[in-house]
Amino acid sequence: MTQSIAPPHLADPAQPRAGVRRTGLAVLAVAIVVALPLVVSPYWTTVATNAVLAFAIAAPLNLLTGNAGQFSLGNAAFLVVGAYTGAFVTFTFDMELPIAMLVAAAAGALVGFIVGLPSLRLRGAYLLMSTLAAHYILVFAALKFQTSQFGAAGAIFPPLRVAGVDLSGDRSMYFVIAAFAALIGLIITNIMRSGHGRAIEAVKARDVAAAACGISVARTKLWVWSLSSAMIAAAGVLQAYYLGSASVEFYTLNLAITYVAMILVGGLGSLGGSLLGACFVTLVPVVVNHLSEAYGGGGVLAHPHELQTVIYGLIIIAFVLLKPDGLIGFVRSAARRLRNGG
Amino acid sequence: MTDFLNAVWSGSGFGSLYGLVALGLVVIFKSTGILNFSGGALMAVGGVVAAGLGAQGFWVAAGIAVVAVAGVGAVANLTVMRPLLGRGLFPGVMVTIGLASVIEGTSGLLFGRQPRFLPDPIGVPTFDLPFGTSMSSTLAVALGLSAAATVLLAIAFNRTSVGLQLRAAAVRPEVASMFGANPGRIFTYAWAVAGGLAALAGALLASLTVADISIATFALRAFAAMIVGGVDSLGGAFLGGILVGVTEMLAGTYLGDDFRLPSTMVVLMVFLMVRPQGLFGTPEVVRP
Amino acid sequence: MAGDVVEQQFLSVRDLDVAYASGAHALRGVSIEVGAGERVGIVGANGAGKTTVARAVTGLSAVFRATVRQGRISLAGKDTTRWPAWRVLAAGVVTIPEGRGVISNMTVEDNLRLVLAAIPRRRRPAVTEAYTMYPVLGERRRAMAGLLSGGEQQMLAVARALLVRPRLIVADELSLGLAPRIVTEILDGLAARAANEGTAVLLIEQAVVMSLRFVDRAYVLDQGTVVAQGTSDELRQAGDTTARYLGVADLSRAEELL
Ligand SMILES: Nc1ncnc2c1ncn2[C@@H]1O[C@H](COP(=O)(O)OP(=O)(O)OP(=O)(O)O)[C@@H](O)[C@H]1O
Ligand SMILES: [Mg+2]
Repeated sequence: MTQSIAPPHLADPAQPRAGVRRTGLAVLAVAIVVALPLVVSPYWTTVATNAVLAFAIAAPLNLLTGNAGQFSLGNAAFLVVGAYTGAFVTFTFDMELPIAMLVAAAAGALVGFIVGLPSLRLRGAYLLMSTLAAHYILVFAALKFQTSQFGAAGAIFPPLRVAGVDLSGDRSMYFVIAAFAALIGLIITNIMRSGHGRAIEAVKARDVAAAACGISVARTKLWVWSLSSAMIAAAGVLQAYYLGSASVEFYTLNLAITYVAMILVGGLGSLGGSLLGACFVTLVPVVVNHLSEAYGGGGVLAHPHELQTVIYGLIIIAFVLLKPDGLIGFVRSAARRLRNGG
Repeated sequence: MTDFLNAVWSGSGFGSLYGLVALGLVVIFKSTGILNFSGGALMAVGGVVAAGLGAQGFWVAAGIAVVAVAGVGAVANLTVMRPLLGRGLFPGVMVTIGLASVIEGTSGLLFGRQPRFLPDPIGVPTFDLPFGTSMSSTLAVALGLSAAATVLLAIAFNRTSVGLQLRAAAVRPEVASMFGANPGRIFTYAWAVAGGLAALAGALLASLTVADISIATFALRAFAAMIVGGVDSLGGAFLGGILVGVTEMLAGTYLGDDFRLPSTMVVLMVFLMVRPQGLFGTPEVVRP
Repeated sequence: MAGDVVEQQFLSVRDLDVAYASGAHALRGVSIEVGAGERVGIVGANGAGKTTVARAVTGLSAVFRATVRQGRISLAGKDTTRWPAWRVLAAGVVTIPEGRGVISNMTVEDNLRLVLAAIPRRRRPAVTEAYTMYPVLGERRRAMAGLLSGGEQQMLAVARALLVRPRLIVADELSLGLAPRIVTEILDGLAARAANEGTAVLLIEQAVVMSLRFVDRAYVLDQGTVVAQGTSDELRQAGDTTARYLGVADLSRAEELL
């Protein structure tokens, strides 16, 4: 960990200009996000909410899998841990959303730490199997918790109110989730720019012999597992509020895989990639449904659900085989061409 | 006692189905290093195809399903799996997940999602066993067929050219290439075998319960079977399947039905932490 | 080496340029020829590119993540530059690879059967042919190959190559780690069989002196290019230019030392 890699601002003399451009892009992005629900129909506001929420879950996963190289299928379990901790805090102690999210994040960090422990001894396929097992064990624990606390149907969340203000409308819900997603994005950006960022990338590079890894690598690993799970668990609370309920049937392995598909499609290890992937994967079913309606639903379009399943699989395969650096790869090469051309 | 033995009988029957799928996972993982997440989908589509041919009786229907799904496996290798060789864990897992999704959706489009049934393989519904216990005849057939498949596969790996080349490719891929193994060809056999075994499990499951494409998650226990047995051991996959199946049924009998799947995952986790090479695996086979 | 002999060459490598995915540019315009039944050597220091030539010729470039950027490899007039290894093997070229390529957790017999698996059944020789050549292999045929001594493993590698009745054997660092007496024994056996069956041998070696004794002529490789070539005698007599590439002070003296 004592490798002397020059900090990015020293290594890249073009940094100031790039920084200005980045800030400009960020301002533009914020403007678009804020303006969106004012411009589009409620239907598209819902789609946008789904995409932004998906980003808030995919981005921490990308930190763990893309940046630190820890392939995990545990994210749906972290969502349910968050949702039920949030529900418990809200219902039992009558707490506001921010407190519920903080407590859920703490629970997520603890569970993430435990699920991350096998990564000190296992790697590759074995580590992945341990996250698969963890998924089912945690979801089962959640089921038991659900039956004892909330009844068979799961936890029903009330309309969202913070400090007496009703935030349950489509637009306000969208703004709350977008603000949270922005916070997640900021946290991850700052981590990756700091010394922690280098430590995280080092975990991926040095994971060749996990059993023999040094103390600092082990510490960083567990830290990333906790941090990523904490963010996902906090997002789980928002997601449950947004959906109006939380029930274990929702937190399937397929849900976990969806977020992995997002980071794959968008670009592993890239925050922008998480955003692009979240939007893309969220849009697929929307587009297929539209096509199905527009073309009267004949032929394969008569079964939009099956068609979505096929297309979703084909997209995953196509990205692995043809565009392993994801959508962000297109953006990067376009940017490079612009820079070289102009 | 009766409950216990009944759980052991049916556990080993169901476990042998996990073992069948796990055998396919082992054959692929061992030779290509790809962790296959499409075993469940291959099994489910095998069950659906067999049940669709139910009028032909169990054996004909199962036979056709085995051949058809072996073909699906072979085509999968030739199209999407072959370019993945040597690319590591994540790409392989994701492509097989994508493959599972394509198989599931296509099956839904072609055959629908209504549950289907398949007649029993043999006329007698149950066998009577000591202490007033009994075992479903289909489960007994499943146990017998999986044991036979394991033995046949072990013989094939030791005696046939492709088997020998697959074994070599599993440990020293470059040496296997040097001495005439054509990876494109031999891995196609591996995938065909995996598809066929999964389809056999699917057909048996269709005759035990029902078949529809969403039974794919049933086969997740095959991962537990594979790890428990040792990822590079064929006999291990079979015995691992039985161990997982018996654990599951005992948990179901004494703790409640909702403990079944979680109990297999606890077994998986325990083995990963205590003995990742499984019961019969070689410790150094741990691939990155 | 006049142009008009090219037609008769079994193996012909022309202006071969090979680079590894890692970026190492291992061969830069290498040309080598081996006639039917001929014994040819390639000598050169560590990292000269000898093994890369062997891989390219046997169709293994891709397996080792190397690409042929330019040039042409042909066998008996057929362009085999992009052939995969199994096709090259079927065309009669077999390798005794660097590091022997013995699969240690398979039995001796299974190591031999592996190469037999690549031969069509009706032309497949009996595995016992190998035991006739090296009885020690027959005695230990059920043993795991990894348990054999270095010399026995090299015998296994030689026997395995000969089983396919090759037209060309590419032997890479056969002598490495073996006592001179064993090397001579193995090489003599190989030479006898090769002469008998008209098999050509491309012997890749760092051990120059030993190599020049075995081959008719040789190429000297340095940093990916052929810097000298000639008959064994010519190379032995060549001044210190050649010797320097080989890291030997004086070839004629070195000969006496052995
Ligand atoms: N698999 C590989 N990947 C990347 N680079 C390689 C690989 N194999 C060889 N090289 C590089 O190619 C160059 C030539 O290596 P090669 O193995 O052909 O040399 P050599 O003459 O056989 O050496 P030696 O006598 O040590 O066996 C070297 O610079 C080496 O580092
Ligand atoms: Mg070499």
